Amino acid sequence: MSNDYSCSFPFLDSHEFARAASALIPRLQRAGLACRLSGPNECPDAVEFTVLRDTDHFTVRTQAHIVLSPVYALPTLYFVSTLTDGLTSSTRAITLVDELYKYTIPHSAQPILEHSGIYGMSAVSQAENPITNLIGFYVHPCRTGEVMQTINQDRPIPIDEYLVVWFGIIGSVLGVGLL
Amino acid sequence: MSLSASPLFKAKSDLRRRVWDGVVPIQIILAADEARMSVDPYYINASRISYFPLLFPQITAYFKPYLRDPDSADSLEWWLEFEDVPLRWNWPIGLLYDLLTGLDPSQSDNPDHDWHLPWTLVLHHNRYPTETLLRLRNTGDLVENWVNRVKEADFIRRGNATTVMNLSKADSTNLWSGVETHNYDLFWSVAKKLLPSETSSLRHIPIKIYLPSSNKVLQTLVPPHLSPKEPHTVGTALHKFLPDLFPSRRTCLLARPILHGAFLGMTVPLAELLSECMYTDGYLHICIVMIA
Repeated sequence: MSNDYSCSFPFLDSHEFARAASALIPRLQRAGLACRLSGPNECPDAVEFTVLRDTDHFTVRTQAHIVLSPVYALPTLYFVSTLTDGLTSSTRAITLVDELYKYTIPHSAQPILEHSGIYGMSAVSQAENPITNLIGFYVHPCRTGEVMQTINQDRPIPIDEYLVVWFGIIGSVLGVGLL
Repeated sequence: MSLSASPLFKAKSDLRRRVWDGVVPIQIILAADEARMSVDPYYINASRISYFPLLFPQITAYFKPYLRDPDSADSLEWWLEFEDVPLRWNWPIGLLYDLLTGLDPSQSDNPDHDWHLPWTLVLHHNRYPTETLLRLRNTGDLVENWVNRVKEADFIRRGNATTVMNLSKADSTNLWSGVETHNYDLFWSVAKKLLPSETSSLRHIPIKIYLPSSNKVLQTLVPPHLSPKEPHTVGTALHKFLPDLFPSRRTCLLARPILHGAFLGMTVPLAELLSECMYTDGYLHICIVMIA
């Protein structure tokens, strides 16, 4: 059975996510991003992509995963940023949110990341990537879900476009957008 | 069916209490490159449902006179290692012990079995493994991580996290305080408000399954019922989500589930297990051990 629209928007099941993920890949490629699907062939469970930011003084390489949150049934962005010093070539992982705002997250993305919910915590925090189990950062998915809901009310979003629309919101956290 | 009328747990508060009181005897050895002279290990009976960062201050206070860099005792960013594996400080102590030592209760009659007791860990400050450990600048990092899981568990149970979000300031403070000071009454005075009183309002069971050796943590949405009359049990859930390891819903053939250091009965309904045996973050953290 194939339905072009998610039955419980904005929430996705693993098959809907796999379908949306497959549709996102060519769009990421067109935007010049190295990317791939990963997970079981029949039902991919992650989109991986890399963002490079080169300045005169440093290079930041961000390795990102888009996965379906097993808790919230919403796509979630996990990423690891490594910083290479332009002068010494020494490399280290960025492990503090303050540094993320300095090196990885552009100022324009701040409105997406304003403080959310309980205990006044930031929407970006350190977390264990559920697929790799390695430490990185993630953007808490709930607020993005609300934004998707609002957009969907104007014009229903088919599954194939879900992650494209989603990426238009979240990609700005890493300074990338789709054309 | 009301959870409180369940016949399975007559001594309801007794089981919750026993879970709360579980301990792991631990021996902590200071890493050689941190010490300027030799020092005896630090011994502690650590609560299974608590977290290592809550113990770090007393541990570093003990080792402070022997440190090459005594000021580092004031930092919380220490890390423990067992057989070259850094311990994730945001995982409960009992879970870490069961998983990393490959705890197998079926070996209780085997005199040669190594229970790794006291559990011997090496304490480090240098070379904090940032790839596998979250930063730990202060207790706030521990609280924030724990609160995120409490929120997740609430969302999983009810389909929204409003119950946790709507806790009064006093209640949310007491919930963490109960964990921080290991106060059963304080913790449960708030925690009981978070658990639905009827299984009908329970949407899914917050559960994480830890596979041996592979580092894989399985998490998926498990409803409390298979069908209107049939509750999801430990066995039916494991069979559904790990059919290769659990080909039978009632009998363990290849692997066994462990919770709080004990075998989990395959026929135990998940909803009741949750109510009595959840960790402080609201999750059932279940380890799988292969049958020898």
